[in-house]
Amino acid sequence: MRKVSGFWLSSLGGIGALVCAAMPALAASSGNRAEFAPLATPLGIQIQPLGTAAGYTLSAEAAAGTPHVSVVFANEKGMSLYTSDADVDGKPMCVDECAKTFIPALAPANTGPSVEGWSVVDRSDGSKQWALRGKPLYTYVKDVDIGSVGGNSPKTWGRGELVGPRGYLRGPMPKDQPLPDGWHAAMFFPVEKPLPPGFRVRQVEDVVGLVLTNQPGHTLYVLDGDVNKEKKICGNMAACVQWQPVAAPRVSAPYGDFGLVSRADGIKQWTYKGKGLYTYAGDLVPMDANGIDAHAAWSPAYIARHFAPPNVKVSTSRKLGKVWATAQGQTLYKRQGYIYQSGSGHAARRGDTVRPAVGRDIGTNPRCRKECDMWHPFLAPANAQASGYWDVATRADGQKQWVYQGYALWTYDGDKVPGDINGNDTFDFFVGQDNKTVIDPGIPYDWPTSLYWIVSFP
Amino acid sequence: MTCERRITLFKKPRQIHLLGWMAGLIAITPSLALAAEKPRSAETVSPLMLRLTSEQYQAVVADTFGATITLGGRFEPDPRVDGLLGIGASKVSVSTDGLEQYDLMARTIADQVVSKEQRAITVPCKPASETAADDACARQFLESAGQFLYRRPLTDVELTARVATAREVSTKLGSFYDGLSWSLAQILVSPQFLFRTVEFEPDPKRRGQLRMTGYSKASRLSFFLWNAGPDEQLLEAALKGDLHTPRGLARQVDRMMASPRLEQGVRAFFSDMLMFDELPALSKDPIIYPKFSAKVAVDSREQALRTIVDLTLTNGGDYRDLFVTKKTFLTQNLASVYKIPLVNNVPNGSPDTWQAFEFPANDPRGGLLSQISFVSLHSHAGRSSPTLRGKALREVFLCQPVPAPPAAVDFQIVQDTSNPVYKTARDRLNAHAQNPVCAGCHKLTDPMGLALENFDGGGAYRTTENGVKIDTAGELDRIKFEDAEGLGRALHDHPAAASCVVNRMSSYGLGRVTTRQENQWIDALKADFAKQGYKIPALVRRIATSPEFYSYVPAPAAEPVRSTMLNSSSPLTEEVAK
Amino acid sequence: MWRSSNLTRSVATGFASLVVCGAAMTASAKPAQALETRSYAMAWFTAAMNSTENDCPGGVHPSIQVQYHKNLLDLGYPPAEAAKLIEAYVSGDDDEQVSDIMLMRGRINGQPVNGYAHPGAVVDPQLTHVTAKEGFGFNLDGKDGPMNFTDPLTKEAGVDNQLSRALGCSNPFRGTYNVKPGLWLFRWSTMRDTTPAWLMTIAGEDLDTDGPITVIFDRAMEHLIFNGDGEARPDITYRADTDPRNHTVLKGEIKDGMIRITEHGRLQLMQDILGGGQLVLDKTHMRLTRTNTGNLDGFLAGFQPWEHLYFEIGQGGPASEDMSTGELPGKWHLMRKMADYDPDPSTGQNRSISATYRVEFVPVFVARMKNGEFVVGNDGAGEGGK
Repeated sequence: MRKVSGFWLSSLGGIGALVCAAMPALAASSGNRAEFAPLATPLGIQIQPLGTAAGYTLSAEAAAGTPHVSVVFANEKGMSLYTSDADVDGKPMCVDECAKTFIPALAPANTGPSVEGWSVVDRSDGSKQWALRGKPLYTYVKDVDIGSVGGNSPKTWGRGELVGPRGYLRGPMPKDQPLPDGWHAAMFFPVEKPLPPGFRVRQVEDVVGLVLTNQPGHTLYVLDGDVNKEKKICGNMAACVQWQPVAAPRVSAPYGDFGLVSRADGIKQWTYKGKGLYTYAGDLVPMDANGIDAHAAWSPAYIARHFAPPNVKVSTSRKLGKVWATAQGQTLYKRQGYIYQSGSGHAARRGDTVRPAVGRDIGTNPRCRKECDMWHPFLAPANAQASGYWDVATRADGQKQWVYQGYALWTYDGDKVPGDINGNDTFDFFVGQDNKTVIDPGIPYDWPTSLYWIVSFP
Repeated sequence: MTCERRITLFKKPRQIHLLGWMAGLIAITPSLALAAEKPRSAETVSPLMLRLTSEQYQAVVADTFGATITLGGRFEPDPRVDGLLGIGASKVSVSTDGLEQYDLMARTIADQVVSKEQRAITVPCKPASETAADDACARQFLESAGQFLYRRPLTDVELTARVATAREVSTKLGSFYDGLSWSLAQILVSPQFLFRTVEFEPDPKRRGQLRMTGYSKASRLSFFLWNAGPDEQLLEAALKGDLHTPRGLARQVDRMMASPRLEQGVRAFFSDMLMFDELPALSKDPIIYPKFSAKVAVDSREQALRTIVDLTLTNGGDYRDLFVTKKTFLTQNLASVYKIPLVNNVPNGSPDTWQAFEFPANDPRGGLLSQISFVSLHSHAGRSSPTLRGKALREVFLCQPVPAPPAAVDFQIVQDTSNPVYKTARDRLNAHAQNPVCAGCHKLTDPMGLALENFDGGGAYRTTENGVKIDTAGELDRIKFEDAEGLGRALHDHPAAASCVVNRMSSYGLGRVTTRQENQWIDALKADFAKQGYKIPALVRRIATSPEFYSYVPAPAAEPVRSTMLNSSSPLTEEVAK
Repeated sequence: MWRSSNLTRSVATGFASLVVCGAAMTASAKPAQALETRSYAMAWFTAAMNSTENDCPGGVHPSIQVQYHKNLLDLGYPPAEAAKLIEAYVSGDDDEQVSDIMLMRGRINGQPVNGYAHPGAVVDPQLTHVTAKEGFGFNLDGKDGPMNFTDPLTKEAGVDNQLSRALGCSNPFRGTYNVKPGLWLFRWSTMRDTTPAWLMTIAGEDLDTDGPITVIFDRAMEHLIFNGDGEARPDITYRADTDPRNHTVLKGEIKDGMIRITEHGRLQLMQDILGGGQLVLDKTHMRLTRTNTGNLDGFLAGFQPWEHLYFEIGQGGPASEDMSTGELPGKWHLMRKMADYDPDPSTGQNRSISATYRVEFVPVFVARMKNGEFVVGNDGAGEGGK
């Protein structure tokens, strides 16, 4: 009996050893890695920045100062979505006359893979309506421009009627129209999530999603493994010192999804959904996410990741950090309208302001003045659907072109290898040369303006 | 520590205003009278109280309440005694201004801890009503926080008094959290928090003998290894009595030495030993040294500490190699002072990054002596100083104090860097040393300092001064060398170098100079250090696990003040005697 | 004299001879075709102006208030109304009416159009230009005529610097050898904190003696780094951008201690849009001397597309016009008239204008891409490198 027990014990030990050997591989394939992080939006649902971040502001400073502070879920046309307090238990109550003001956001036939939090509910007339966390969604008839909420357009957002080419404030500012009682904009960001002090949820561009950060904004990562075996997991000292556990106060107690683990080395570490939280030493400034591919066992602490078309990836450029690129690594660019900035900053990383309204104004006509045959639209399949920050525009020639954050995307023949951004900052000036021709750069302008090519950042 | 001793402390002449402050606080908060509470120990002599340094204070607060808590005040400077701030901490109390700042910090910290944003995690219990006292919740919080702040559990009397304060203030102000904040602020301004107190108790295993209490051992150990207060596991070990057994003590030491926090402890020690507290305030003439800046000063400190940690901790190398190693770490900012190309592969606008760098084998630079942190710190604002550098080399690395210059010395020749006759520092110092009053001391310092003359006052390398080639030949206690590299080698081979770091580290850990009774222990440490290849981790462990590190040592009676380890066999004393 | 006692003479083949970490910079025997290199970053770049008293007949350009008054009259406003508008403008009570009028002061088919974007549709205000005889620069085209200067330092005749002639009567653009013109100074100062630096490497057999050299221009991937006093910091390492739009190689020489370009080709360097987006100079000329701090100081000149220049100074529109540049469409007309190179085949209008810039370089290290890695050339490493 003892011999049999010994045999089985040793067999179990052997099996255990095999399992342990396989653990790193298992760890690498599960957990919170990007492909397993929940998507923010299904196909057919966009997200749109509101207010000054929509890009209709009068000044670059204002647009740059409020990037993505307020982002709403929107339908495939970019119109903001709303919920109603009257819709309980997932049943849409806004029908008939009501439905002429708050129009049901109908789901397309193909909503793609299911996305956490999103569902489709049946209406009494048989149509299918989008619902978010069980609340049916609607658009508002008074919303005309993308980025509007409650009928208040970002073109007049708190600034009154615009006058002139870009507009100067004239007359008294109209009051914002409130939403009818019981109606609320369906916000993507800020996220309502209880967080312990010292944590934030932010959109980190390089992560292409919402992640946990610390108070200063440094990306947090989770370890797929036992924090007390960290040294074994990371493999060597040089790798280990890159990952720094997020320490919790000694007096603290767990908080919601945030737990605690007392490590042997004396550090009390925060966990998120059971996984140890870390910062990465290679992240030099807030919004960096250089730890993404640094080690298989560590991945960003996603709250949700953004949709990206299947033939697009994030690539690292030589001098401007992470940029969008085709699956083959060719950098993607957008055509941007110039705003005079007092003081430079344009050449700094992320020194360019994202203004979706300007991107939409330019559209798919780049109004190219030089090297035009070197630029090619980044085409989308005929059945491509908008989702997240991605949209699809129909070109004059009928083809579809991918649009990201309002800007149509392009590639440049002068880029020869992945990492090249040789088309970046190519300017075309729009200055009338005579007294006969009115110039049209396609965007509002107050003084000599320019269109230029710039890489598309995530 | 006896009650009498504490009262004595507060009755020092310059503490009269402090007494007034304390009396005022006592009037409002009766629990402060607990400052006079008799500790558990029956009778202790030679008590030791060390004021928390600014780094230690910040570490205890951050560990207890989180790194997002800001302090809101400033610290008095820590004095350097016998070459170490770690010893100076035991010689200093709190001035009136200092207490004001501590009070400000205490209230600032306490307010943040109980704020709506923070209390979800810092005050896990919920009071029955936010507008009234809740003794149970207050007790739970104060007990939990207090043990980390005091580095031991609060006594029943202390805890009861703190809870009473919380109750009284909560009731008066109609706010539970305001009361809690008051009580916490009391803790943060009390001597038990501001000072590390070493306490003794009767040793149950040796009748008539005293032993250090478990919590005092935990405190000594954690401030030595981590430069921070004990964690839960160490406090638990103290409670169980594990620290009174060699095995239990070794287990904790090994656990703590395996922690990344050991690096903080090592950095704190070397930062103290190398006088790096002076670097942030170092300034240079911007016309003569345009590249030098506050950032260079701060970066140079970090360069040296990274070099030390990398060699001694990460790679477990020989301590003495710090004087000859070609390996270091640089930022672009520093590299430009050294005139070294260093590519920074980061996007435009990114901060400077640290990179490992190795000087080529035939590069004259290498070792701590040639680094900016040494040559610029021990120089004048507008010129180098072989004398200051030589003096620092003796005092910092060899534990050999150099006498101060006598009063009314004429330094004119030495300071005249544009002298048409004495074009180099060597020439000027030779001229100065013609005065026999000056020659004796300069003989102790200049032969080494002149070897570093290739490094100007801002740390940059040069081969000439005023068009004349710099002569860097010299000697260190009869070991001759041709240049800075040779000096580094001479220092590496000097027996006092290894001996000095042992003296320094043991004093640092003890918070005092060792006594004659401890000479045997110190000699054993030195022998082990050599036997184990001059490895710093081994030395740290040896000290931390030594019974002597926790021994009761009676206060020396009327002993003359002694510096750290100037002994009769040192060449220095021979020179001075000549 | 082009000599440095602090520089170590190292030899290398080509420009990429050393690996960054652990580089062995030992002296060794010179192989054939060995080259010495020294690299620099441009610390200052401003127009080279030689403003003097009486160099503008009728005085410098009037204040913007006076100019706007004239503009209103040119637009046909009755004098009384124009005066009233300007009075309100000066006192700030005009509710931006004058700014609006000035914004739309262009006329195309009788319709108001944005005057800054359509300067050709604005009546030429006939601003004055410089008539002085001395000006910094080079004889770019080998000719000498009534619109040319004589350089006050070199005494070279036939100097082409029409940019200084066009803009030199406007206060923000005036300056001297020692006083940098205000607007250029402001623009360069604000750009250099973030915009990638401009680099120059000089290569030759022996850079301490006269002889032929190669001059290579590149743009860095990072902006200038500074000392605490705001001056460019020497001995920083910059990476040369691989973007081909920035790489220019020209022949030159060291002669009598001066570095010159002898192959007068096209120089092209990308620039922040605040600086017009790109520096393009045809028939590039340069002369530099070494200062006692080791920097290089001198002049860089050539024919520059003036559309870039108009955009550079005009992009601030009315805000700039009011606060710094003065009347803008008027400057467009001036530059158009003074342009002296590269005629448009269809209209004959010259598209480029001769320009001279005062430049200063600081010694640095430059790393260039080689086999996927950035590698530093020998770059005359400082004493520590020996």
